[in-house]
Amino acid sequence: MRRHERGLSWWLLLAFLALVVAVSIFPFAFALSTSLRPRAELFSFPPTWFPKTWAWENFVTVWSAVPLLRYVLNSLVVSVLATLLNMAFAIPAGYALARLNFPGKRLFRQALLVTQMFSPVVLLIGLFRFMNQVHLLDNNASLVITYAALSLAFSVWFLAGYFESIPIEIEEAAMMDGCTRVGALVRVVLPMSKPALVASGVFAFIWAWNEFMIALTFISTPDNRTLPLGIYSFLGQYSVEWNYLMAAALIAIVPVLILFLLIEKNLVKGLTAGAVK
Amino acid sequence: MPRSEPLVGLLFILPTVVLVGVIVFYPIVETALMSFSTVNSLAQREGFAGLANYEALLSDTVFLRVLAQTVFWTVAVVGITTVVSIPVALALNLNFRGRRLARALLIVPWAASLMINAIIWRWILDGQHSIINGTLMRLHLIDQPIIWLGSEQTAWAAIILVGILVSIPFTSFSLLAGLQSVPSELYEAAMVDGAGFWASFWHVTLPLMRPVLIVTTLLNVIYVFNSFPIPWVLTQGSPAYRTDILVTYIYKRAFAEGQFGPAAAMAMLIFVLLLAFSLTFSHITKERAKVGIK
Amino acid sequence: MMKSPFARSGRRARRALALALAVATVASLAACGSSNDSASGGEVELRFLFPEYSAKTTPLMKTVVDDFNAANKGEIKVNLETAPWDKMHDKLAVSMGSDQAPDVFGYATRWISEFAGLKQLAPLDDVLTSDFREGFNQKVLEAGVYEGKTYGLPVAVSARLLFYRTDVLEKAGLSAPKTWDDLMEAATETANPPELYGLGVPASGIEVDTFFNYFLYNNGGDILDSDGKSMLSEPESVEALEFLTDLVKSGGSQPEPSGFTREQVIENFKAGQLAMYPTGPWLTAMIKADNPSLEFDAVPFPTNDGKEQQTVSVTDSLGMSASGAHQAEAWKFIEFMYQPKYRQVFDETEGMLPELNAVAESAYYQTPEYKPFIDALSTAKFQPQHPKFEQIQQIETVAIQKALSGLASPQEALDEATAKIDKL
Repeated sequence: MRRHERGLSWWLLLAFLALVVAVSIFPFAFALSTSLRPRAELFSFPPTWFPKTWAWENFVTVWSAVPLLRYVLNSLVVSVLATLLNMAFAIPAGYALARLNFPGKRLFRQALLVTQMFSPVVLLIGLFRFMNQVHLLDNNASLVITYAALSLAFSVWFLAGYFESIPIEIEEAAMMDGCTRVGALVRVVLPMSKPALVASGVFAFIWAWNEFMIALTFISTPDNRTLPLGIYSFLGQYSVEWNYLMAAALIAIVPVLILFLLIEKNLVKGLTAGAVK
Repeated sequence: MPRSEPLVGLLFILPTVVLVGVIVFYPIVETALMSFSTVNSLAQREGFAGLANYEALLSDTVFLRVLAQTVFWTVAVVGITTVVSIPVALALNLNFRGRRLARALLIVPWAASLMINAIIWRWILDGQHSIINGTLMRLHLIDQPIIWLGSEQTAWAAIILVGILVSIPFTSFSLLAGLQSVPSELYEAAMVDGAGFWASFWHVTLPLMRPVLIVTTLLNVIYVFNSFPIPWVLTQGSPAYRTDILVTYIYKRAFAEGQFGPAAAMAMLIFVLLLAFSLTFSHITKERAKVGIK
Repeated sequence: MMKSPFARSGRRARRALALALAVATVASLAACGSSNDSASGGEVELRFLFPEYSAKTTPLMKTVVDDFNAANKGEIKVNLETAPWDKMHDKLAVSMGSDQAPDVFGYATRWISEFAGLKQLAPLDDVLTSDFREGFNQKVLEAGVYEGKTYGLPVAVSARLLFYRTDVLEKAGLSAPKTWDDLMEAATETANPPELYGLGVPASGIEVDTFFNYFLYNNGGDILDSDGKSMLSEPESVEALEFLTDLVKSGGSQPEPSGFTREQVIENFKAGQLAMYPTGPWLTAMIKADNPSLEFDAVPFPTNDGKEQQTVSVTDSLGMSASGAHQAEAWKFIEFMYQPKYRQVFDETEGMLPELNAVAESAYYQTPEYKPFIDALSTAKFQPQHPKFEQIQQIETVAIQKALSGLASPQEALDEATAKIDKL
């Protein structure tokens, strides 16, 4: 079948893909080039594609210019915990949507969609007041809880979609073998749902890893900062340290990219059953 | 065929209901209350204002302009993203050398946050030091730099371009997933029948991708409509609200001007608009949806 | 696939356990609660929120806080909190609105009327000893007074002068501009786009209104009258905006000012791509660090037609929360912070002017580069106090952007602004 495709349309599609990939990757290529320039060279005119002097040391300096390692660790802890919390809640909820009838099911689905219709910007005041009441301000636990909650709607639909695609007979067999509902979920459904679990977990992780506005509002102590807040501190009042900013931004992308690449196959598989149906 | 186990079902959704209820609905209620109150510049409710905040919106010409701009931005970004992502997904589904690399590169803007994408583009579009200008000047296509973020038209073009680029990865990967669920026998049948590529695309692929197209479009509309960092980092609405969208305008009203009441009213209005859109959209497309609306 | 799940159930169960543990971890994190509860014995904990002017601010303030904590071990512990400068108003408003104001905080002096009006700021007159008071530049200290009470002590003081490239103006046969005619001539004559533009005009981002004030003040105009009504439609204001618009139209600046922020224009001057730009002393420090060969000088901003010269001047303030439970300790910390050695390092590092006389007299600030800025403070004009000044700035900014991008004539734009301001 593949042989049939190598006509003009095959080449046209690939050319188009190459174009889109080039445009998508271009800002990051230039960010890399910027991150390798000494400060004096940032503003030379006319601008050039490549540095004249390669300032490799920027990638070292940036770790000491701000406590970047600390920010990376904070972000990792927050994102991993938010992801786990998200999954722990999304799995049963998604399963309930896929397999069980209960009163208010439709309302539950719709309420989840509603949560996506408010930009975090709009929720800031209320979120702050809530965290204040439970004494979690300036504590990274507030971020874990908030991120888990805000990415939950997506995870629940996503998992529900995947669970529905699993033949129900398998579970029924397990339940006849004496498994409880929970047993069937844990022993049968989850092992078969690896791609979807991975994909929705990655979404939750990225959401938490990249969030800025809420972290800015909740966190005040420099040591509690997450990476996006740390990167923002290079945007000074009077000048932007573009080379360090770009270096820090690229460092922030790397873990997510690695994660993405590790799970790329699962991602597509997970999306396949999760999104389509 | 879902089984009727009401108690188990309720128990299973309970954690989600509690968490989302507390974290999301509490702030929504706060916003809703603010929209009907007089609110001071510290966002403290001081008294009942009836519909005054909403009435103020209708006479706010800036609000109406920004609303129109938001619709324009959303339609442009989601529309073009979808049109671009379909062939990208088709190409990613082909078997070619470097497919893994292409997929990996395409993911990069997705792996970076919206804020980082926006900050990088602000640097690329810098008035004097834009590498795009540098390149165009070296090629003698222009002799003076173009101030990309200076005029309304070029600024919108830039903002929309960035909006599209950050939306392509999610959209094209979802469409790719949709494509992979199209049984390849259907494809092959179409090919064997002598239907050319385009014919099989129109008559086989596209109809089968419809459900996933609908879901990603709905999600993209909601996300793009509310996308704060891109317009904010690139222009902050300059000049004179001409490049604001509703979220950035809400942010300005609330935090820069201390007008939390009218800002809350706008937030509620956005919600009503998006809800109305979702209902109409799912009604028109008659998709019983993953995404919640039946 | 059908059989294996049961075989592997042990591993699955362990994973589920891991998940449960993770949830428990979150719960235990949550149990830590806010830092205020953990004070042991008689130790008083204070929250100190300070704006970040650059990536260097946080480490700088950390040194001061650490020194203070070491000197007051067992009695007072200050916890440093920081936020990007441009997010400070958000941060303060949200915390104050939830009764969570930090004990001590930095903020823009122009916010005093808003915060004091909402009873968030503690007046400092009772604790300010005359000795301590006399250590300050009195004119600058005056900026923190509202309705007869001192609410803020100055930090991050700036006086704005016109920076210009001495070599470029000399080459064009011009000397430092003193009048608006000189300014127009220098801006249009030196322009050699795209390598060099005349006057830097930023009309996007922060301080667009402040930039216009150079022209407004030096044409005898003002933003508000003594009743808080707009003066932006007065002939002096319109004339000032017309001059600025003409200057842009005649090629005396980069095209499309709406595409430039203050920070971009500063970089352009520093890189030698602008002949002139008015700003504060930080630019001197930046040029020394990044482009030391640039030939430049800084002079008072030109006035129109013999009008009185006014120096645009902006200060931030350091104040105490009115609701703070430990004001005596907070004040002790503030006094500690204002030791000349700490202010000297801060002012030099961030490129600000000294608020303390002792620092102003130091060798660093008596050099030809910095002395003109300190001298200019004598004609300083600070931002007005108005409870809704943030909104007024927004309205003024929009008017300037409209005029500069041709969306309205200066008169129309300023009339619209006046109507809006007078309705507040």
